[in-house]
Amino acid sequence: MIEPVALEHFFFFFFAAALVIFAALAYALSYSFSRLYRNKTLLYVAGLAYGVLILAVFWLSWLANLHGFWYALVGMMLFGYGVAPILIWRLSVATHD
Amino acid sequence: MSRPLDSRHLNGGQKLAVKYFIVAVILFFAQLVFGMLAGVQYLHPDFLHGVLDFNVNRMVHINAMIVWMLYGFIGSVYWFLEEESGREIVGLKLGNWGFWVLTAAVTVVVAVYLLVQTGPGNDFTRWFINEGREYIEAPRWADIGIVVVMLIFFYNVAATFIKGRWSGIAGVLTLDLVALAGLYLAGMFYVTNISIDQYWWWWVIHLWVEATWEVLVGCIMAWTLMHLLGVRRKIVETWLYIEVALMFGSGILGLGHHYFWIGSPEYWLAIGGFFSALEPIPLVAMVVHSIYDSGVHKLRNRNHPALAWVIAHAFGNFLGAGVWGFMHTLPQINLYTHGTQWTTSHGHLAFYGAYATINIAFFYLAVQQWRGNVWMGANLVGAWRWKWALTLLSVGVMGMTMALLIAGYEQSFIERAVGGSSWSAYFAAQTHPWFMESMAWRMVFGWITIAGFVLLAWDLLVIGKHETREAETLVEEPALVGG
Repeated sequence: MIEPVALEHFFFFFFAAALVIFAALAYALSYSFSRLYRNKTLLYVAGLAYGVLILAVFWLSWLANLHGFWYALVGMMLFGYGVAPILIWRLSVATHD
Repeated sequence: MSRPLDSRHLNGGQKLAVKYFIVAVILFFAQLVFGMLAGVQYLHPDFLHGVLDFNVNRMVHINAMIVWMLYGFIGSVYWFLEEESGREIVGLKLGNWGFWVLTAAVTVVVAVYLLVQTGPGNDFTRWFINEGREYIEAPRWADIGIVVVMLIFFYNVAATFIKGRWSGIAGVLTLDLVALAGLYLAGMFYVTNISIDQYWWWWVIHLWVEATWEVLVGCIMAWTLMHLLGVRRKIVETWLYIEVALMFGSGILGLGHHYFWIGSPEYWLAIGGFFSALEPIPLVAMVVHSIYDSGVHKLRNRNHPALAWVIAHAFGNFLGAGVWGFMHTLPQINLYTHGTQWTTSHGHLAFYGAYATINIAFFYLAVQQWRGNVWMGANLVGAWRWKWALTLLSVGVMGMTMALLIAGYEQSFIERAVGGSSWSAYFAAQTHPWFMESMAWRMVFGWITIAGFVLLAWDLLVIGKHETREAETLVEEPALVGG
């Protein structure tokens, strides 16, 4: 079920994994600041960061030799990470009122 | 005019907490010293050979870290217990007794580690010298002592809240302490099957660190934010529940990433991989919420060093646990990285970011009160010390993390992926220039970390001493309307 990373992909795997987390951070940061300062440019930056996140996640999935069902799961997780900052922001507003 | 550290400013629980903090700082220093000794032995394997071997130094290094962090957590809880519950601690004498028993036990255990070191490998060894399980090597008598002291701690917290005022923090904390004492029992019995034995051992190692400790830190952080920034109780308690749910949701089954290669069933590969990928979610929540909070109260605060360490906690936790953890947690790569210096790299930054920073932040809160609620905000006399201590400690730990990352990458690639984990591949990796140079750089950054510690200890002793201003009274933050 689990196929180890190929030797030639060794470095890229770590790079892609780190990129996933940093892109997720950039997305969460830029989205939050765009809401805080009501700044549309930052919202576009957030969209760009989410785009990088999608690419990084699928790159990582390919490097990790995921197939079939796993791609559906990856897609669901991507969706979850996409809506998480939006929901958490709303929750922040609701809990602080 | 000078302001001495005066215990008359402290309640009973806070006086007990100070004792815990003092021992925590001493053990923090011990952690650094034995880490440095072990680091030297990577470069000069003959150094102290037969006197203090690498296994002993490494064991004391890691055990000292676990224990100083526990001392910090226990002290922090005792610090706010009376204020949070609105009454005196029910069993303060018992709590003091527990402190001295624990400290005496820690002293004897370390003395035996250093002077006796090994035994004949029978029941006597297990009961009186070294249990033999990595990270929880304390002999069985000390294990029992630790559980008894944890139960005293639990009794004090639960009984004080029951007889006093109950709160959201109180509820989460009390339940967490049941788990803290209970999970330790999973490391106190043996089975003959090594896979099953490791299965239970990880309950102590992973579930302590990624569940009960995280929740404990959540409670300490909740109280800290109320007293540092004036955040409303309703908000911190709501977010405490949310974070606990997120951490338990991902962290408990994230345990699976330790079950990949111990002989557990194959389904743990999928469970461990999936839930490990969910573990950054609480960190994302933390980022979004902290930005929201900074917009609400502009980070106005009464203790700059404490807030700076809380910010270091947020970044350190994200980088150490999030980035460094996720980079090597999926089984496809963990096959190669498990147990290499890559893990050590992750461990250094994650423990510093998630736990050392929050303990240090609390030490600064405690010192402020101990000096009679002294001003520790803008234009603080001698502020350079805490700033440099924070910088040196963070640069030192980050530098060690990067050096170990390079060593771990080289090890996992040359020894594991290319060499197939053979004996000769092991030595090829251990003597490779990338490995040796990384270990040399680790020592350089280790010295920087020690310099940061010295400055931190000095600062904790003198900060606020020559300050004449009182800390201002906290004003509860306003709500931010709209979104």
